[in-house]
Parts: sequence; structure tokens; C-alpha cells
Amino acid sequence: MWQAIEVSIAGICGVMFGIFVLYCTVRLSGYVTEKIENRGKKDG
Amino acid sequence: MDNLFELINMSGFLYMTPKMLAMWGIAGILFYLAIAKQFEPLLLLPIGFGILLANLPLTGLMEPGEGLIWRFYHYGIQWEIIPPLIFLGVGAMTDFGPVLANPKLLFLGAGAQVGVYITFFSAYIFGFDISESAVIGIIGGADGPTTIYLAAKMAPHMLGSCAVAAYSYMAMVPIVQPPVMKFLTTKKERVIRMKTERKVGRLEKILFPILASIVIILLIPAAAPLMAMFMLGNIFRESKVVDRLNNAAQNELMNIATIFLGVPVGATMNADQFLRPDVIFIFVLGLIAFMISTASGVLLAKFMNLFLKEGKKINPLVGAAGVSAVPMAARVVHSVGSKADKKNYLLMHAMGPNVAGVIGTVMAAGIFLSLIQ
Repeated sequence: MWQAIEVSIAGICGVMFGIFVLYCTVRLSGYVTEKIENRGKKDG
Repeated sequence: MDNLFELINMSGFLYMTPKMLAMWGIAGILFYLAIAKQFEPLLLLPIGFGILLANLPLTGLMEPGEGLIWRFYHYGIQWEIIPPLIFLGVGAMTDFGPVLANPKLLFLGAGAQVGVYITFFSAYIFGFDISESAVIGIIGGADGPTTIYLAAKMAPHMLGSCAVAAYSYMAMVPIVQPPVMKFLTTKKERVIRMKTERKVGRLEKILFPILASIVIILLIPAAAPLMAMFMLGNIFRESKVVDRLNNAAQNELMNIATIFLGVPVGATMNADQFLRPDVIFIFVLGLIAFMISTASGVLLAKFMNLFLKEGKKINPLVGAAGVSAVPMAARVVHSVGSKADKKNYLLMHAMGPNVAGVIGTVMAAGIFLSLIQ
């Protein structure tokens, strides 16, 4: 029983944390690529 | 005369059992759903045929080590080859643009996984062992290949029933989801219009599969086989330099993998394994899992709205697309939304949580594999 409770809680938290890390990665890569593209436009 | 008797003895007719006939009936229902109703025909048709073949006596098609379909099953599914190939094709077909344009939608893909874990726990309470419970729970993610992948690794005896349940519910998204969505939202919430987000550049689309692979596989290594192929397919698509590979992954390879997935999955459903009371439980719990996943996605969207400014709010219907049935769940969101407001175009917004749901379900499966095996 305890193992099932642990797996349920760890699972929900794990997926949420994984998606949060992915969210941060997407935001960061969006910011960096925007900067790169803007610089490219300026140079062009 | 002896030869004639021998021939009759060697035929399958004498070995037919009532249970086998019942399984023919189930195969017939799948044929009907696939052909007449066009519910997930690409999978339900080969699965139905597999069921029929598995319930013909004396064929030896599923004889371990010898049978033709057993070989498809063993080398394709047990060796974990076909579900990742399906993911390669799915990745090649997926546009992550909506989720990159509005990254907060990623959370809705995670929210919908709550149903997976609630059902996992419920199945355990009902007496299934912990591995079986995990496989039943993952049905709530409405992701066929992930369900098959997890079932083959954790509870192979439940593979057929769980796969049929997952694909049936994926096909029944337009029937199952709208009542849950309407019950949990008000008319005012259903007419919320979401702004069109920024245009996503090519570089960002190319970087996403690379970064997502690194992040997700480092976090949950057990999710690597599915996630790696999913993102490989996506980089084929977004790089735009390997059109041949992209086309092959989306079309020929996907079609071949689908055939070799469906038939052996159906063939695992012989009468003795399928006609048991616990299979009914699997279908009921699978349906509950799917409904809870829909509800948790909608409720998370409503919760997020508490912190979002006016004009940035999310239409809570979009949360229902957090289950992975791509693109059916997104279409259903659009359809329910347009009934409340004909000019509300939610399809592209719903595609964000929909593709995030695929990632969320793979993560959920990876966590089960890490914690239970």
C-alpha cells in the first residue's frame, strides 16, 4: 500500500517537475534564439 | 477412409470452443467499429484480425519460438522495437510550434497525467498488483504505443486488453470528453478567447527536440527509448534537410510499424486470457482514468487562470487536450469551444497541451519503470 502511495505522489511530482524543467528550457531557448535572430536582422 | 477421418481430426473444427466463438464476436465488434464507424481503423482493424487469428485452433501462429505472429510479437514488441518506431513517426508528424509559442501550455500536458496516478492507486486498491496497476493507470494518458510499451515490460499478460482499451478510448474521445468538459466549465469560461501567440522561428524549432531530449532523458532515463525516437522524428521534420527520412518516418515506416503492432497485440488476446472478470475491471478503470485525466487538465487550466492577467487567460477547455490522443483531443476542444462561441478558434491553442500530453505520458511511463521495476 505504502509503495503505491509513494509511487503516485512521486509520479505526479516527477511529471510536474519534468515539465517545469522543460518549460524553463523552452523559455530560455526562446529568449536566446530571439536575441540571435534580432542580431542577425540588425547585421543584415 | 482412415485418411478421411485423419483429415477431419486434423481440422480445427473439432477443437473449437464456445470461448473462441465469443472472441470471434469481440473481433467482429472491432471490425464493425473500424470499418463502419471508422473508429481508429488503422489499429482496431489489425487488432481485430489478430484476435480472430489467435482464436482459431491448431494454427500455432502464437506458438512460442515457432509461430509467425509470435515472432512479430517477440521481436517487435517484447524487444521494444515497434512502439519506439511508432514514436519516430509521431515525432515526424508533430509540430511543437503552438507549445513553443505559449510554453505555459506545457503544464496542461502534465496536469492530465494526474488521472494516470489516481487510477494507478485505485487499481492497486481493487487488488491488481503494482505492475498491473501501473499499466491500467497509463491507459488514462490515452497513448496507445506508450500503453503497449509499458504493458510489454511490466504486465505482458495484460497487453491485449490494455491496448484495446487505450485505442478504444482514443477513438471515443468525442464521446467521453465533452460531458466532462462541460460539467467542469461555465459558459463564460468556454467563450474565453485566447490570443494568437508569436510566430516561432526555425532555429527555435530545431533546438527544441535537441534540448528536450537532453533534459527529459537526463531526468528520466527510463523514458529514453520512446522520447529519443520521438525527438529524432521531430528533428527530421524541423531540420528540413532530410525530407526523404522525414517522409519515410511519417509514411512507409509508420504504416509498416502499425501493421506489425496491431496484429500481434490482437493475437495476445486468446480466449483464456481475455474472458476473465478482471478484464472488465481494466476497461472500467481505463475509462475512469481517461475521464480523470480530462478533468484534471481542465481543472489545472482553471487554476492557472487564477494567476493570469485578463487577456492572458486560458480557455479551460484547452486543458482537456492534455491527454495524448493527437489530434483528436484538440479537435474535440475546438468543437466544444465553437459550440459556445462560433468564432472562437481553439484548435491551434489546444494542439499545445495535446503534444505536451504525449511528452507527459512518456514521462509518467518512465517514472513507473524507474520506481517499480
